Amino acid sequence: MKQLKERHVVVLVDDEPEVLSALRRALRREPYQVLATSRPAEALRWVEAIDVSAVVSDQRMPGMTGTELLGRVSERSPATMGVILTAYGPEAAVVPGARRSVECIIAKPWDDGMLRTALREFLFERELEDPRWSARFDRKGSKVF
Amino acid sequence: MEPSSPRPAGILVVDDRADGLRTVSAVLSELGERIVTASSGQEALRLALDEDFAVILLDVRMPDMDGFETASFLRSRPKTRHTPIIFVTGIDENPHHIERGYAVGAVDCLFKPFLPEVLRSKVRFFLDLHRKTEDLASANARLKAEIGERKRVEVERDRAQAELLQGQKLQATGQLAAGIAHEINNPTSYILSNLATVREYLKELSEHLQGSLEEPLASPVQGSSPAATARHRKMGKDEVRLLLQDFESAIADCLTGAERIRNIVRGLREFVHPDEALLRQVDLRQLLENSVELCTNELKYQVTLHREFQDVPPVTCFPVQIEQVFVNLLVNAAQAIGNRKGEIHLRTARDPEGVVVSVRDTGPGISSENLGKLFLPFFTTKPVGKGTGLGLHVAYKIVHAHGGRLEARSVEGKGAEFLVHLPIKPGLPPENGSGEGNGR
Repeated sequence: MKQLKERHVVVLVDDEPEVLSALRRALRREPYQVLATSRPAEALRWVEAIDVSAVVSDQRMPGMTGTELLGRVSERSPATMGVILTAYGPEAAVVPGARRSVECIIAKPWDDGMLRTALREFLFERELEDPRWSARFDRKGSKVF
Repeated sequence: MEPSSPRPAGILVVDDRADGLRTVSAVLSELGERIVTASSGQEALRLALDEDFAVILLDVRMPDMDGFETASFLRSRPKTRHTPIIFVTGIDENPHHIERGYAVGAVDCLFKPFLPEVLRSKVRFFLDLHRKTEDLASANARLKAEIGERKRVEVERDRAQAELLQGQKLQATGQLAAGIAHEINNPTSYILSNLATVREYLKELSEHLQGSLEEPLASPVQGSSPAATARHRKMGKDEVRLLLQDFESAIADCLTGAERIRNIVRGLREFVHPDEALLRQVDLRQLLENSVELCTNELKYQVTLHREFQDVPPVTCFPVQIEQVFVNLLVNAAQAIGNRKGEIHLRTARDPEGVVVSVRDTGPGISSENLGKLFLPFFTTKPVGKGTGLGLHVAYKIVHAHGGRLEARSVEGKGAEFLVHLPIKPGLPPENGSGEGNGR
Protein backbone atom coordinates (compact mmCIF):
# COMPACT_ATOMS: atom_id res chain seq x y z
CA MET A 1 0.00 0.00 0.00
CA LYS A 2 1.29 3.41 -1.02
CA GLN A 3 2.03 5.71 1.91
CA LEU A 4 0.69 9.21 1.50
CA LYS A 5 2.61 12.14 2.92
CA GLU A 6 -0.25 14.45 3.64
CA ARG A 7 -3.59 14.13 5.34
CA HIS A 8 -5.81 14.79 2.32
CA VAL A 9 -9.31 16.17 2.40
CA VAL A 10 -11.76 13.93 0.52
CA VAL A 11 -15.27 15.19 -0.20
CA LEU A 12 -18.15 12.74 -0.75
CA VAL A 13 -21.31 13.84 -2.58
CA ASP A 14 -24.44 11.73 -3.00
CA ASP A 15 -28.12 12.53 -2.60
CA GLU A 16 -28.67 9.33 -0.65
CA PRO A 17 -27.52 9.56 2.98
CA GLU A 18 -27.13 5.77 3.18
CA VAL A 19 -24.59 5.87 0.37
CA LEU A 20 -22.68 8.63 2.14
CA SER A 21 -22.58 6.62 5.39
CA ALA A 22 -21.36 3.54 3.58
CA LEU A 23 -18.62 5.51 1.80
CA ARG A 24 -17.56 7.08 5.09
CA ARG A 25 -17.30 3.63 6.62
CA ALA A 26 -15.33 2.34 3.65
CA LEU A 27 -12.81 5.15 4.10
CA ARG A 28 -12.72 5.18 7.90
CA ARG A 29 -9.26 3.63 8.14
CA GLU A 30 -7.85 5.73 5.33
CA PRO A 31 -5.61 8.68 6.16
CA TYR A 32 -8.12 11.28 4.95
CA GLN A 33 -10.25 13.91 6.45
CA VAL A 34 -13.62 12.93 4.99
CA LEU A 35 -16.38 15.48 4.43
CA ALA A 36 -19.76 14.30 3.19
CA THR A 37 -22.74 16.15 1.81
CA SER A 38 -25.90 15.44 -0.13
CA ARG A 39 -25.80 18.92 -1.73
CA PRO A 40 -23.44 19.55 -4.66
CA ALA A 41 -23.48 23.28 -3.94
CA GLU A 42 -22.06 22.66 -0.48
CA ALA A 43 -19.25 20.58 -1.95
CA LEU A 44 -18.39 23.50 -4.23
CA ARG A 45 -18.23 25.88 -1.26
CA TRP A 46 -15.82 23.50 0.50
CA VAL A 47 -13.63 23.34 -2.59
CA GLU A 48 -13.52 27.15 -2.65
CA ALA A 49 -12.74 27.41 1.07
CA ILE A 50 -10.14 24.70 1.65
CA ASP A 51 -7.69 22.47 -0.17
CA VAL A 52 -9.71 19.49 -1.29
CA SER A 53 -7.65 16.66 -2.76
CA ALA A 54 -10.48 14.56 -4.13
CA VAL A 55 -14.22 14.76 -4.74
CA VAL A 56 -16.14 11.49 -5.02
CA SER A 57 -19.55 12.28 -6.47
CA ASP A 58 -22.71 10.47 -7.48
CA GLN A 59 -23.64 11.10 -11.11
CA ARG A 60 -27.39 11.66 -10.86
CA MET A 61 -28.37 14.18 -8.23
CA PRO A 62 -31.05 16.84 -8.00
CA GLY A 63 -29.98 20.14 -9.48
CA MET A 64 -26.60 19.10 -10.80
CA THR A 65 -25.03 15.99 -12.29
CA GLY A 66 -21.78 14.62 -10.96
CA THR A 67 -19.90 15.52 -14.15
CA GLU A 68 -21.23 19.08 -13.94
CA LEU A 69 -20.11 19.31 -10.35
CA LEU A 70 -16.63 17.96 -11.11
CA GLY A 71 -16.36 20.37 -14.06
CA ARG A 72 -16.95 23.28 -11.69
CA VAL A 73 -14.63 21.78 -9.11
CA SER A 74 -11.78 21.61 -11.59
CA GLU A 75 -12.41 25.23 -12.64
CA ARG A 76 -11.89 26.26 -9.03
CA SER A 77 -9.23 23.74 -8.14
CA PRO A 78 -7.58 22.03 -11.15
CA ALA A 79 -5.48 19.71 -8.99
CA THR A 80 -8.47 18.17 -7.24
CA MET A 81 -9.11 14.61 -8.28
CA GLY A 82 -12.62 13.82 -9.48
CA VAL A 83 -14.27 10.43 -9.09
CA ILE A 84 -17.75 9.65 -10.42
CA LEU A 85 -19.89 6.97 -8.85
CA THR A 86 -22.74 5.93 -11.09
CA ALA A 87 -25.55 3.43 -10.75
CA TYR A 88 -26.24 3.60 -14.51
CA GLY A 89 -23.07 1.96 -15.71
CA PRO A 90 -19.87 3.82 -16.61
CA GLU A 91 -21.08 5.05 -20.02
CA ALA A 92 -23.72 7.21 -18.33
CA ALA A 93 -21.06 9.56 -16.98
CA VAL A 94 -19.08 9.89 -20.19
CA VAL A 95 -20.09 13.27 -21.53
CA PRO A 96 -18.12 15.65 -23.74
CA GLY A 97 -15.72 17.75 -21.71
CA ALA A 98 -15.96 15.48 -18.70
CA ARG A 99 -12.66 13.75 -19.34
CA ARG A 100 -10.53 16.58 -18.09
CA SER A 101 -12.28 16.86 -14.76
CA VAL A 102 -13.17 13.20 -14.14
CA GLU A 103 -10.21 11.10 -13.15
CA CYS A 104 -12.10 7.90 -12.76
CA ILE A 105 -15.59 6.45 -13.08
CA ILE A 106 -16.65 3.74 -10.66
CA ALA A 107 -19.87 1.79 -11.19
CA LYS A 108 -22.23 1.18 -8.32
CA PRO A 109 -22.20 -1.19 -6.55
CA TRP A 110 -18.58 -0.29 -5.95
CA ASP A 111 -15.95 -2.46 -4.32
CA ASP A 112 -14.60 -0.86 -1.13
CA GLY A 113 -11.06 -2.11 -1.76
CA MET A 114 -11.03 -0.83 -5.33
CA LEU A 115 -12.34 2.55 -4.28
CA ARG A 116 -9.66 2.85 -1.56
CA THR A 117 -6.90 1.77 -3.94
CA ALA A 118 -8.05 4.14 -6.67
CA LEU A 119 -8.02 7.10 -4.29
CA ARG A 120 -4.65 6.18 -2.81
CA GLU A 121 -2.98 5.60 -6.17
CA PHE A 122 -4.23 8.84 -7.60
CA LEU A 123 -3.36 10.91 -4.55
CA PHE A 124 0.07 9.29 -4.40
CA GLU A 125 0.72 10.13 -8.07
CA ARG A 126 -0.54 13.62 -7.49
CA GLU A 127 1.82 14.13 -4.57
CA LEU A 128 4.69 13.11 -6.81
CA GLU A 129 3.70 15.07 -9.91
CA ASP A 130 1.83 18.10 -8.82
CA PRO A 131 4.16 21.04 -8.28
CA ARG A 132 1.65 22.53 -5.88
CA TRP A 133 1.98 19.54 -3.59
CA SER A 134 5.73 19.15 -4.16
CA ALA A 135 6.28 22.82 -3.34
CA ARG A 136 4.41 22.44 -0.12
CA PHE A 137 6.31 19.30 0.75
CA ASP A 138 9.58 21.04 0.13
CA ARG A 139 8.55 23.73 2.52
CA LYS A 140 7.38 21.26 5.12
CA GLY A 141 9.99 18.65 4.19
CA SER A 142 12.34 19.06 7.09
CA LYS A 143 9.45 18.83 9.53
CA VAL A 144 7.89 15.74 8.03
CA PHE A 145 10.97 13.60 7.66
CA MET B 1 -59.38 -4.60 -76.58
CA GLU B 2 -60.50 -6.70 -73.68
CA PRO B 3 -57.71 -7.11 -71.23
CA SER B 4 -59.46 -9.99 -69.52
CA SER B 5 -59.95 -12.25 -72.58
CA PRO B 6 -57.07 -12.63 -75.01
CA ARG B 7 -59.35 -14.13 -77.71
CA PRO B 8 -62.73 -12.37 -77.92
CA ALA B 9 -65.71 -14.72 -77.91
CA GLY B 10 -66.90 -15.39 -81.43
CA ILE B 11 -70.14 -16.31 -83.17
CA LEU B 12 -71.16 -19.93 -83.73
CA VAL B 13 -73.24 -20.54 -86.83
CA VAL B 14 -74.94 -23.93 -87.12
CA ASP B 15 -76.53 -25.14 -90.37
CA ASP B 16 -76.49 -28.49 -92.13
CA ARG B 17 -76.36 -26.81 -95.50
CA ALA B 18 -73.14 -25.28 -96.71
CA ASP B 19 -74.81 -22.46 -98.62
CA GLY B 20 -76.74 -21.44 -95.50
CA LEU B 21 -73.47 -21.26 -93.57
CA ARG B 22 -71.85 -19.27 -96.32
CA THR B 23 -74.69 -16.74 -96.51
CA VAL B 24 -74.75 -16.09 -92.79
CA SER B 25 -70.95 -15.94 -92.52
CA ALA B 26 -70.82 -13.45 -95.36
CA VAL B 27 -73.39 -11.21 -93.75
CA LEU B 28 -71.69 -11.33 -90.35
CA SER B 29 -68.13 -10.93 -91.62
CA GLU B 30 -68.78 -7.20 -91.71
CA LEU B 31 -68.90 -7.18 -87.89
CA GLY B 32 -65.25 -8.14 -87.81
CA GLU B 33 -65.79 -10.87 -85.21
CA ARG B 34 -64.58 -14.41 -85.34
CA ILE B 35 -67.07 -16.72 -86.94
CA VAL B 36 -67.08 -20.46 -86.29
CA THR B 37 -69.30 -22.77 -88.30
CA ALA B 38 -70.78 -26.17 -87.52
CA SER B 39 -72.71 -28.36 -89.95
CA SER B 40 -74.52 -30.46 -87.35
CA GLY B 41 -75.99 -30.29 -83.86
CA GLN B 42 -73.27 -32.65 -82.53
CA GLU B 43 -70.47 -30.55 -83.95
CA ALA B 44 -72.09 -27.43 -82.54
CA LEU B 45 -72.24 -29.03 -79.09
CA ARG B 46 -68.61 -30.07 -79.24
CA LEU B 47 -67.48 -26.60 -80.28
CA ALA B 48 -69.65 -24.83 -77.77
CA LEU B 49 -68.34 -26.91 -74.90
CA ASP B 50 -64.81 -26.23 -76.05
CA GLU B 51 -64.89 -22.46 -76.20
CA ASP B 52 -66.99 -19.43 -75.34
CA PHE B 53 -69.38 -17.90 -77.86
CA ALA B 54 -71.11 -14.59 -77.58
CA VAL B 55 -74.08 -15.93 -79.51
CA ILE B 56 -75.13 -19.11 -81.35
CA LEU B 57 -77.15 -18.97 -84.58
CA LEU B 58 -78.99 -22.26 -84.79
CA ASP B 59 -80.81 -23.60 -87.83
CA VAL B 60 -84.00 -25.32 -86.73
CA ARG B 61 -84.28 -27.86 -89.44
CA MET B 62 -81.32 -30.24 -89.42
CA PRO B 63 -81.05 -34.04 -89.89
CA ASP B 64 -80.21 -36.31 -86.90
CA MET B 65 -80.29 -33.67 -84.20
CA ASP B 66 -82.50 -30.74 -85.01
CA GLY B 67 -82.25 -27.21 -83.62
CA PHE B 68 -84.61 -27.82 -80.74
CA GLU B 69 -82.72 -30.87 -79.58
CA THR B 70 -79.39 -29.05 -79.90
CA ALA B 71 -80.72 -26.09 -77.93
CA SER B 72 -81.97 -28.41 -75.14
CA PHE B 73 -78.53 -29.95 -74.89
CA LEU B 74 -76.83 -26.56 -74.84
CA ARG B 75 -79.16 -25.38 -72.09
CA SER B 76 -78.48 -28.49 -70.01
CA ARG B 77 -74.70 -27.83 -69.87
CA PRO B 78 -73.47 -25.30 -67.31
CA LYS B 79 -70.92 -23.84 -69.72
CA THR B 80 -73.52 -23.02 -72.36
CA ARG B 81 -76.57 -22.53 -70.17
CA HIS B 82 -76.56 -18.77 -70.65
CA THR B 83 -75.15 -18.50 -74.16
CA PRO B 84 -77.78 -16.66 -76.21
CA ILE B 85 -79.29 -18.78 -79.00
CA ILE B 86 -80.97 -17.31 -82.07
CA PHE B 87 -83.11 -19.73 -84.00
CA VAL B 88 -83.00 -19.40 -87.72
CA THR B 89 -86.18 -20.69 -89.34
CA GLY B 90 -88.26 -20.35 -92.49
CA ILE B 91 -90.96 -17.71 -92.54
CA ASP B 92 -93.41 -20.34 -93.65
CA GLU B 93 -92.83 -22.49 -90.60
CA ASN B 94 -95.62 -23.43 -88.33
CA PRO B 95 -95.95 -20.73 -85.61
CA HIS B 96 -95.89 -23.59 -83.16
CA HIS B 97 -92.24 -24.02 -84.06
CA ILE B 98 -91.43 -20.58 -82.84
CA GLU B 99 -93.17 -21.20 -79.56
CA ARG B 100 -91.23 -24.43 -79.09
CA GLY B 101 -87.99 -22.66 -79.96
CA TYR B 102 -88.46 -20.12 -77.15
CA ALA B 103 -89.48 -22.94 -74.83
CA VAL B 104 -86.19 -24.80 -75.28
CA GLY B 105 -84.16 -21.66 -74.64
CA ALA B 106 -83.96 -19.47 -77.71
CA VAL B 107 -83.72 -15.77 -76.97
CA ASP B 108 -84.57 -14.60 -80.44
CA CYS B 109 -85.79 -15.78 -83.77
CA LEU B 110 -84.75 -14.98 -87.29
CA PHE B 111 -86.87 -15.77 -90.28
CA LYS B 112 -85.45 -16.77 -93.58
CA PRO B 113 -85.07 -15.09 -95.91
CA PHE B 114 -83.69 -12.34 -93.75
CA LEU B 115 -82.44 -8.83 -94.30
CA PRO B 116 -78.66 -8.79 -93.70
CA GLU B 117 -78.93 -5.66 -91.57
CA VAL B 118 -81.48 -7.35 -89.30
CA LEU B 119 -79.18 -10.31 -88.75
CA ARG B 120 -76.20 -8.08 -88.06
CA SER B 121 -78.22 -5.91 -85.71
CA LYS B 122 -79.40 -8.87 -83.67
CA VAL B 123 -75.96 -10.40 -83.51
CA ARG B 124 -74.36 -7.04 -82.67
CA PHE B 125 -76.77 -6.70 -79.77
CA PHE B 126 -75.66 -10.03 -78.29
CA LEU B 127 -72.03 -9.28 -78.94
CA ASP B 128 -72.43 -6.03 -76.98
CA LEU B 129 -74.27 -7.83 -74.25
CA HIS B 130 -71.51 -10.40 -74.02
CA ARG B 131 -68.83 -7.75 -73.92
CA LYS B 132 -70.67 -5.87 -71.19
CA THR B 133 -71.18 -9.03 -69.20
CA GLU B 134 -67.49 -9.75 -69.47
CA ASP B 135 -66.61 -6.19 -68.46
CA LEU B 136 -68.83 -6.55 -65.46
CA ALA B 137 -67.34 -9.90 -64.54
CA SER B 138 -63.81 -8.55 -64.77
CA ALA B 139 -64.80 -5.45 -62.81
CA ASN B 140 -66.26 -7.76 -60.23
CA ALA B 141 -63.09 -9.80 -60.09
CA ARG B 142 -61.05 -6.60 -59.73
CA LEU B 143 -63.31 -5.45 -56.93
CA LYS B 144 -63.03 -8.78 -55.21
CA ALA B 145 -59.25 -8.64 -55.52
CA GLU B 146 -59.30 -5.08 -54.21
CA ILE B 147 -61.42 -6.07 -51.24
CA GLY B 148 -59.10 -8.99 -50.59
CA GLU B 149 -56.11 -6.67 -50.84
CA ARG B 150 -57.75 -4.12 -48.56
CA LYS B 151 -58.51 -6.85 -46.04
CA ARG B 152 -54.95 -8.05 -46.26
CA VAL B 153 -53.70 -4.49 -45.74
CA GLU B 154 -56.03 -4.10 -42.77
CA VAL B 155 -54.84 -7.32 -41.21
CA GLU B 156 -51.25 -6.26 -41.90
CA ARG B 157 -51.89 -2.84 -40.38
CA ASP B 158 -53.53 -4.33 -37.30
CA ARG B 159 -50.59 -6.65 -36.89
CA ALA B 160 -48.11 -3.80 -37.36
CA GLN B 161 -50.01 -1.70 -34.85
CA ALA B 162 -50.09 -4.56 -32.37
CA GLU B 163 -46.35 -4.95 -32.86
CA LEU B 164 -45.84 -1.23 -32.36
CA LEU B 165 -47.87 -1.28 -29.18
CA GLN B 166 -45.87 -4.25 -28.00
CA GLY B 167 -42.73 -2.38 -29.06
CA GLN B 168 -43.82 0.68 -27.14
CA LYS B 169 -44.44 -1.49 -24.14
CA LEU B 170 -41.01 -3.00 -24.55
CA GLN B 171 -39.45 0.41 -24.97
CA ALA B 172 -41.26 1.73 -21.93
CA THR B 173 -40.14 -1.38 -20.10
CA GLY B 174 -36.60 -0.78 -21.34
CA GLN B 175 -36.57 2.80 -20.11
CA LEU B 176 -38.03 1.65 -16.84
CA ALA B 177 -35.47 -1.15 -16.68
CA ALA B 178 -32.60 1.37 -16.85
CA GLY B 179 -34.26 3.40 -14.12
CA ILE B 180 -34.92 0.28 -12.09
CA ALA B 181 -31.33 -0.88 -12.46
CA HIS B 182 -30.31 2.49 -11.05
CA GLU B 183 -32.80 2.17 -8.22
CA ILE B 184 -31.54 -1.29 -7.34
CA ASN B 185 -27.85 -0.50 -7.78
CA ASN B 186 -27.91 2.27 -5.20
CA PRO B 187 -29.16 0.25 -2.24
CA THR B 188 -27.14 -2.76 -3.39
CA SER B 189 -23.99 -0.67 -3.32
CA TYR B 190 -24.38 0.47 0.26
CA ILE B 191 -25.64 -2.90 1.46
CA LEU B 192 -22.53 -4.60 0.07
CA SER B 193 -20.20 -1.92 1.34
CA ASN B 194 -21.81 -1.91 4.78
CA LEU B 195 -21.64 -5.69 5.02
CA ALA B 196 -17.92 -5.58 4.22
CA THR B 197 -17.47 -2.95 6.93
CA VAL B 198 -19.57 -4.85 9.42
CA ARG B 199 -17.43 -7.94 8.90
CA GLU B 200 -14.38 -5.85 9.79
CA TYR B 201 -16.18 -4.47 12.81
CA LEU B 202 -16.93 -7.99 13.91
CA LYS B 203 -13.29 -8.96 13.52
CA GLU B 204 -12.14 -5.94 15.50
CA LEU B 205 -14.69 -6.58 18.21
CA SER B 206 -13.79 -10.23 18.55
CA GLU B 207 -10.10 -9.36 18.73
CA HIS B 208 -10.95 -6.87 21.42
CA LEU B 209 -12.96 -9.51 23.33
CA GLN B 210 -10.18 -12.11 22.92
CA GLY B 211 -7.78 -9.59 24.41
CA SER B 212 -10.10 -9.03 27.33
CA LEU B 213 -10.49 -12.77 27.92
CA GLU B 214 -6.76 -13.45 27.90
CA GLU B 215 -5.96 -10.69 30.35
CA PRO B 216 -9.11 -10.34 32.39
CA LEU B 217 -7.41 -8.82 35.46
CA ALA B 218 -5.16 -6.35 33.77
CA SER B 219 -6.04 -2.69 33.96
CA PRO B 220 -6.67 -1.02 30.60
CA VAL B 221 -3.38 0.89 30.68
CA GLN B 222 -1.12 -1.93 31.85
CA GLY B 223 -3.05 -4.52 29.79
CA SER B 224 -1.81 -3.02 26.58
CA SER B 225 1.50 -4.77 26.81
CA PRO B 226 3.35 -4.75 23.48
CA ALA B 227 2.81 -8.49 23.01
CA ALA B 228 -0.91 -8.32 23.61
CA THR B 229 -1.32 -5.31 21.36
CA ALA B 230 0.38 -7.12 18.53
CA ARG B 231 -2.08 -10.00 18.59
CA HIS B 232 -5.20 -8.42 20.00
CA ARG B 233 -5.82 -4.77 19.46
CA LYS B 234 -7.73 -3.67 22.48
CA MET B 235 -9.98 -0.71 22.09
CA GLY B 236 -10.87 1.98 24.52
CA LYS B 237 -14.42 2.19 25.91
CA ASP B 238 -15.36 5.14 23.70
CA GLU B 239 -14.02 3.42 20.66
CA VAL B 240 -16.04 0.30 21.40
CA ARG B 241 -19.16 2.38 22.00
CA LEU B 242 -18.78 4.28 18.71
CA LEU B 243 -18.07 1.09 16.83
CA LEU B 244 -21.15 -0.61 18.24
CA GLN B 245 -23.26 2.43 17.41
CA ASP B 246 -22.06 2.49 13.85
CA PHE B 247 -22.45 -1.29 13.64
CA GLU B 248 -26.11 -0.84 14.43
CA SER B 249 -26.67 1.99 12.00
CA ALA B 250 -24.84 0.10 9.22
CA ILE B 251 -27.19 -2.84 9.78
CA ALA B 252 -30.18 -0.48 9.83
CA ASP B 253 -29.07 0.99 6.49
CA CYS B 254 -28.75 -2.52 5.07
CA LEU B 255 -32.31 -3.27 6.13
CA THR B 256 -33.60 -0.04 4.60
CA GLY B 257 -31.82 -0.84 1.36
CA ALA B 258 -33.01 -4.42 1.19
CA GLU B 259 -36.59 -3.27 1.79
CA ARG B 260 -36.27 -0.76 -1.01
CA ILE B 261 -35.11 -3.49 -3.37
CA ARG B 262 -37.94 -5.74 -2.24
CA ASN B 263 -40.51 -3.03 -2.97
CA ILE B 264 -39.08 -2.33 -6.39
CA VAL B 265 -39.09 -6.01 -7.29
CA ARG B 266 -42.62 -6.38 -5.97
CA GLY B 267 -43.82 -3.58 -8.23
CA LEU B 268 -41.82 -4.95 -11.11
CA ARG B 269 -43.23 -8.44 -10.82
CA GLU B 270 -46.75 -7.14 -11.25
CA PHE B 271 -45.66 -5.01 -14.15
CA VAL B 272 -43.92 -7.54 -16.31
CA HIS B 273 -45.32 -10.91 -15.36
CA PRO B 274 -47.69 -12.04 -18.10
CA ASP B 275 -48.95 -14.96 -16.01
CA GLU B 276 -50.42 -12.50 -13.62
CA ALA B 277 -52.31 -10.72 -16.36
CA LEU B 278 -55.59 -11.88 -14.85
CA LEU B 279 -58.75 -10.09 -14.01
CA ARG B 280 -58.51 -9.38 -10.31
CA GLN B 281 -60.06 -7.27 -7.59
CA VAL B 282 -57.53 -4.72 -6.51
CA ASP B 283 -57.16 -1.64 -4.40
CA LEU B 284 -56.30 1.12 -6.86
CA ARG B 285 -54.31 2.96 -4.18
CA GLN B 286 -51.99 -0.01 -3.85
CA LEU B 287 -51.68 -0.17 -7.63
CA LEU B 288 -50.83 3.54 -7.67
CA GLU B 289 -48.13 3.00 -5.03
CA ASN B 290 -46.65 0.19 -7.11
CA SER B 291 -46.60 2.45 -10.14
CA VAL B 292 -44.97 5.24 -8.17
CA GLU B 293 -42.33 2.79 -6.97
CA LEU B 294 -41.63 1.78 -10.57
CA CYS B 295 -41.26 5.41 -11.60
CA THR B 296 -39.15 6.50 -8.61
CA ASN B 297 -36.27 7.26 -10.86
CA GLU B 298 -38.37 9.56 -13.04
CA LEU B 299 -39.99 11.26 -10.09
CA LYS B 300 -37.53 11.65 -7.27
CA TYR B 301 -35.38 14.48 -8.55
CA GLN B 302 -37.75 17.23 -9.63
CA VAL B 303 -41.12 16.09 -8.44
CA THR B 304 -42.88 16.43 -5.11
CA LEU B 305 -45.63 13.86 -4.90
CA HIS B 306 -48.90 14.59 -3.09
CA ARG B 307 -51.47 11.94 -2.32
CA GLU B 308 -55.13 12.62 -1.64
CA PHE B 309 -56.55 9.14 -1.38
CA GLN B 310 -60.21 8.83 -0.55
CA ASP B 311 -61.53 5.41 0.38
CA VAL B 312 -62.52 3.63 -2.80
CA PRO B 313 -64.00 0.18 -3.27
CA PRO B 314 -61.82 -2.49 -4.85
CA VAL B 315 -61.97 -2.47 -8.63
CA THR B 316 -62.06 -5.55 -10.84
CA CYS B 317 -59.50 -5.05 -13.58
CA PHE B 318 -56.36 -6.34 -15.23
CA PRO B 319 -53.93 -4.94 -12.65
CA VAL B 320 -50.91 -5.18 -14.95
CA GLN B 321 -52.63 -3.09 -17.57
CA ILE B 322 -54.04 -0.51 -15.19
CA GLU B 323 -50.59 -0.25 -13.64
CA GLN B 324 -49.23 0.50 -17.07
CA VAL B 325 -51.83 3.25 -17.44
CA PHE B 326 -50.65 4.81 -14.16
CA VAL B 327 -46.99 4.40 -15.10
CA ASN B 328 -47.59 6.03 -18.48
CA LEU B 329 -49.47 8.93 -16.86
CA LEU B 330 -46.79 9.37 -14.17
CA VAL B 331 -43.93 9.30 -16.68
CA ASN B 332 -45.88 11.70 -18.88
CA ALA B 333 -46.43 14.07 -15.95
CA ALA B 334 -42.78 13.86 -14.91
CA GLN B 335 -41.67 14.59 -18.46
CA ALA B 336 -44.08 17.54 -18.64
CA ILE B 337 -42.46 18.96 -15.52
CA GLY B 338 -39.06 18.30 -17.06
CA ASN B 339 -36.06 19.92 -15.43
CA ARG B 340 -38.01 22.43 -13.37
CA LYS B 341 -39.26 21.63 -9.90
CA GLY B 342 -42.85 20.55 -9.92
CA GLU B 343 -45.63 18.71 -8.19
CA ILE B 344 -47.72 15.71 -9.08
CA HIS B 345 -51.01 15.24 -7.26
CA LEU B 346 -52.47 11.75 -7.10
CA ARG B 347 -56.10 11.56 -6.12
CA THR B 348 -58.58 8.71 -5.79
CA ALA B 349 -62.29 9.19 -5.26
CA ARG B 350 -65.67 7.62 -5.84
CA ASP B 351 -67.37 8.68 -9.01
CA PRO B 352 -70.83 8.17 -10.58
CA GLU B 353 -69.09 5.80 -13.01
CA GLY B 354 -67.30 3.86 -10.26
CA VAL B 355 -63.89 5.12 -9.22
CA VAL B 356 -61.80 7.98 -10.50
CA VAL B 357 -58.02 8.29 -10.28
CA SER B 358 -56.54 11.65 -11.06
CA VAL B 359 -52.92 12.39 -12.00
CA ARG B 360 -52.35 16.14 -12.02
CA ASP B 361 -49.06 17.88 -12.74
CA THR B 362 -47.85 21.44 -12.43
CA GLY B 363 -46.09 21.34 -15.79
CA PRO B 364 -46.65 23.78 -18.65
CA GLY B 365 -50.04 22.28 -19.54
CA ILE B 366 -51.47 21.42 -22.94
CA SER B 367 -52.78 23.81 -25.56
CA SER B 368 -56.47 23.41 -26.41
CA GLU B 369 -55.37 22.57 -29.94
CA ASN B 370 -53.28 19.64 -28.73
CA LEU B 371 -55.78 18.57 -26.10
CA GLY B 372 -57.97 17.01 -28.79
CA LYS B 373 -55.10 15.02 -30.29
CA LEU B 374 -53.54 13.69 -27.09
CA PHE B 375 -54.81 10.15 -27.40
CA LEU B 376 -54.13 9.73 -31.10
CA PRO B 377 -51.43 7.19 -31.82
CA PHE B 378 -48.05 8.76 -32.59
CA PHE B 379 -49.09 12.18 -31.40
CA THR B 380 -46.24 13.67 -29.42
CA THR B 381 -44.92 17.09 -28.58
CA LYS B 382 -41.65 15.69 -27.37
CA PRO B 383 -38.51 16.02 -29.46
CA VAL B 384 -37.64 13.23 -31.87
CA GLY B 385 -36.42 10.18 -30.00
CA LYS B 386 -37.89 11.31 -26.70
CA GLY B 387 -41.43 10.05 -27.01
CA THR B 388 -43.12 7.48 -29.20
CA GLY B 389 -46.48 9.20 -29.02
CA LEU B 390 -47.98 5.92 -27.91
CA GLY B 391 -47.95 6.21 -24.12
CA LEU B 392 -51.23 8.07 -23.81
CA HIS B 393 -52.77 6.15 -26.70
CA VAL B 394 -52.00 2.89 -24.93
CA ALA B 395 -53.41 4.25 -21.68
CA TYR B 396 -56.54 5.36 -23.51
CA LYS B 397 -57.05 1.97 -25.13
CA ILE B 398 -56.54 0.09 -21.87
CA VAL B 399 -58.98 2.27 -19.96
CA HIS B 400 -61.60 1.91 -22.70
CA ALA B 401 -61.14 -1.84 -22.80
CA HIS B 402 -62.04 -1.79 -19.11
CA GLY B 403 -65.28 0.03 -19.90
CA GLY B 404 -63.82 3.19 -18.45
CA ARG B 405 -62.92 6.63 -19.70
CA LEU B 406 -59.66 8.58 -19.86
CA GLU B 407 -60.10 12.31 -19.73
CA ALA B 408 -57.57 15.10 -20.08
CA ARG B 409 -58.02 18.59 -18.72
CA SER B 410 -55.61 21.43 -19.00
CA VAL B 411 -55.31 25.16 -18.98
CA GLU B 412 -52.18 26.12 -20.86
CA GLY B 413 -49.59 27.35 -18.43
CA LYS B 414 -51.37 25.82 -15.47
CA GLY B 415 -50.55 22.14 -15.66
CA ALA B 416 -52.58 19.18 -16.82
CA GLU B 417 -54.84 16.66 -15.19
CA PHE B 418 -55.61 13.17 -16.42
CA LEU B 419 -58.68 11.45 -15.03
CA VAL B 420 -59.03 7.69 -15.20
CA HIS B 421 -62.65 6.75 -14.69
CA LEU B 422 -63.04 3.05 -14.04
CA PRO B 423 -66.18 1.03 -13.37
CA ILE B 424 -66.13 -1.20 -10.29
CA LYS B 425 -66.47 -4.13 -12.65
CA PRO B 426 -65.59 -3.81 -16.30
CA GLY B 427 -68.59 -3.86 -18.59
CA LEU B 428 -71.10 -3.54 -15.74
CA PRO B 429 -72.88 -0.39 -14.67
CA PRO B 430 -71.75 0.78 -11.24
CA GLU B 431 -73.88 -0.37 -8.35
CA ASN B 432 -74.08 2.39 -5.83
CA GLY B 433 -73.60 1.30 -2.28
CA SER B 434 -72.46 -2.26 -2.91
CA GLY B 435 -68.99 -1.46 -4.06
CA GLU B 436 -67.49 -4.60 -2.64
CA GLY B 437 -68.55 -6.87 -5.49
CA ASN B 438 -68.86 -10.59 -5.10
CA GLY B 439 -65.62 -11.78 -6.53
CA ARG B 440 -65.87 -14.40 -9.22
